[in-house]
Amino acid sequence: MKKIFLIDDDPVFVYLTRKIIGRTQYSCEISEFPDGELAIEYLTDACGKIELLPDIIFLDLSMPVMDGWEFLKQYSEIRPRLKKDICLFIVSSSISPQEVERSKTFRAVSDFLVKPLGKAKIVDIINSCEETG
Amino acid sequence: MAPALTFLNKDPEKSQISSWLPSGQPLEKDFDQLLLLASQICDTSIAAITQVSKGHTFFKAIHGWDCQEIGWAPEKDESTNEAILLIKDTLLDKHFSCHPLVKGEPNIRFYAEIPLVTDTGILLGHLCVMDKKPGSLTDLQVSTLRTLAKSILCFLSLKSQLKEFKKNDDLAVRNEELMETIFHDAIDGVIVSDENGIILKWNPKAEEMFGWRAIEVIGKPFYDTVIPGRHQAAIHSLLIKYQKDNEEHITGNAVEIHGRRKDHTEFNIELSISPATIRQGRYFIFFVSDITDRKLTAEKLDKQKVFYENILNKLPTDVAVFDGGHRYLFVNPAAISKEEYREFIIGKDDYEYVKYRNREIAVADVRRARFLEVKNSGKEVRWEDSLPDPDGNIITHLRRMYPVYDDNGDLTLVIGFGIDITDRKLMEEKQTAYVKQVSVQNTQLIDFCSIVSHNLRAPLVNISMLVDFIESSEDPDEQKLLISKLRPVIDNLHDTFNELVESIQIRRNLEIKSEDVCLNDCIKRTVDGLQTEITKLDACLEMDFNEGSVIRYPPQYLNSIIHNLVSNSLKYHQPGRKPVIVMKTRKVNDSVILSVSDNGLGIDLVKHKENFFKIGKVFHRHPNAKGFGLFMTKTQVEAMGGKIWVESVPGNGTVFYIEFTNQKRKAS
Repeated sequence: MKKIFLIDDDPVFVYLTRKIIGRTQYSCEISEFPDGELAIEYLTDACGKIELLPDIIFLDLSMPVMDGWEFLKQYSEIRPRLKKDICLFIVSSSISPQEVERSKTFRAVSDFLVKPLGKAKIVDIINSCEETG
Repeated sequence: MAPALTFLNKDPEKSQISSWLPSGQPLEKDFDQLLLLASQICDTSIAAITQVSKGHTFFKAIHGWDCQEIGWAPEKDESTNEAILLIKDTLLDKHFSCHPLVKGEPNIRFYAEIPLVTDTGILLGHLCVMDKKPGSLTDLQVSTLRTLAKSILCFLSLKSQLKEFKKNDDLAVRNEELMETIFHDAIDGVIVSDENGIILKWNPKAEEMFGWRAIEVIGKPFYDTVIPGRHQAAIHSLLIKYQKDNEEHITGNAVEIHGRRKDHTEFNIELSISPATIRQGRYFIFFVSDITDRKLTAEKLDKQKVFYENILNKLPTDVAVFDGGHRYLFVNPAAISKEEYREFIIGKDDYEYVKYRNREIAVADVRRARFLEVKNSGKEVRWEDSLPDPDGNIITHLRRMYPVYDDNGDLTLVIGFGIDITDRKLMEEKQTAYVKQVSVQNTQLIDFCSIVSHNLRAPLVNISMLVDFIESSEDPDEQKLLISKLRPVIDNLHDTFNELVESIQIRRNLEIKSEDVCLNDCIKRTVDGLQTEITKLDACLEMDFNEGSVIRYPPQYLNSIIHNLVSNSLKYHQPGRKPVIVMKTRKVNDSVILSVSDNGLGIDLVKHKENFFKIGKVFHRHPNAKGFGLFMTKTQVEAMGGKIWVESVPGNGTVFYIEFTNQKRKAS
């Protein structure tokens, strides 16, 4: 049972992503956070409790209140305290090469994925996290 | 023992007279005949002229014996000075018996002496007669001896005068030789003429210069010989003038004129004429210098001067040269075009000049400060200054000032250059404006890319995913649900698209007309539109437009700006706190600054500074936050050349400032 966090303010995208994950053979527990601030607050509180931490994070960049970049900054700070190895993927509608480059400056980021996400891609991701986890 | 002649050197007259019979000199042969006469008159074998000094007797001249000096002197009183001393038999005289010429050869027995006293009473010596046998003198013999003594004095006096004459004569000869040498070796031509200008003397230098030998020209008129025809009359009349003036001090009147050689070639000379009167005769002395070389050098210098002045005067650059005290030594016409001012400024400083031109003293202050900076640092200084020209146009100069030192390291000059860079300056300003515009456009382009990728692509992705699901779904209910989800996505895409189009229109619409818009009207419109929210929140709006209640601006932009800011203040109010929105205007130069402050949630500017006015950026979890308002407001402000900025403290409130430029009111 994989724990997946969707950090994205777009309800349609979240709805669709849930649907795609539902169509895979994996049973997953999905949590939603509409902005980075809510997500970082949760993770800061849960950093020592392995059972509350996700296996995979899908992070949108363009969000109100706290965007993906600010989240990454704060996430990098709490990451050493996290009791679990978490695979973090940026999932953005942006196709800007600058943002792809910028994402590489964060070691916490496993990959930069461009929306839309297909079922095959999500299966790959869950599989790869299986291996490393 | 009385020293007979020792007092002689006591005053100049005595000293001069004593030189008639100088001591220590050999015997005077001149007196031989006189002494022979004395011995014959007195019938003695010896006669002599003696001088007594320091207990010794010197025989200045002697006849009948040969002796120069003996260590003995007659012993007598001063009172007996003028009397005759007569010793009939020396052996009977206690003192004379010790006389060396008595004791030894020639064994004198008779001795008599007459003092040689001048008219002024000075004793020069004695005339004495001696014999080997005792004897005496008759009155006649004594009186003849006295006459003889007088003759001796007379002879001595004449001899002395003769000597003096001879000395003067020598001097005259020497002077003449000297004059002749000067005349011959003079580096100038020296020509002497009589009062009619007829040449009397012609020195070798004149021969060399003019090619005439002295013998060829002596006796000819000066002006006829060496002056070209056209100048002769002038010189002639000058000589006549000198003749009449009869004033010796007309000298040094050097004239530059042409001289004519024997071969009729001409050359440049400097001629000075000195009239002279010598023993009632009137003469002219002409001094002639060949100034061909000097003239050539002067011409060369003049040419050089013209050359450099041409450069300096025609240079399109301002040039000013100062002395160490900041006084003007030179300014070229580019610096000061009016000759009158240019002449005035020489030798003066900027303070005198600004006073003269009725300019502000501050101009001189600035220039003095720069000068001192150069002087004290010893280095070049550069600056730009802008001054209005007579037509009121601002002219900008790039100025450079640098010191010039001599070999000793002393400051000799300070040179200032000024180049009119008004055109360049305008170009620079234009360029800066272009660069700014390009950079703004570049930022806008990047923003636009980001808008396209985030704000347009995101809904498109959603639509495409939803369509995929709809197509793959076989459940009609699910299909219905998915289709219902399409609507908000499409609406969002539509809104974003419209905002973008509008913002591009604002940027492109350079023709949009500004009008005088009354802020109060504008606010009334906003309040009407937002009445529901204002009533619901019991919001309070305060206005203070004392410093500007009318803004010149496109009305639709101003309405939109005010609407956006007020609605933001209402939207992001602090829950549980009655919203207070204060709007004020402030005049700053030509601008009016509108501030809109609230007591709402505030924004963390440290976090959000970069994204503040970007499209699609929202900072609060608010259901209606779309991130369009501030983006559009900024676009509307900047399109008209204005500025927008923000101050905020989270929890306390936010103040937006908008600068409306070019709001200078026409005088009414």
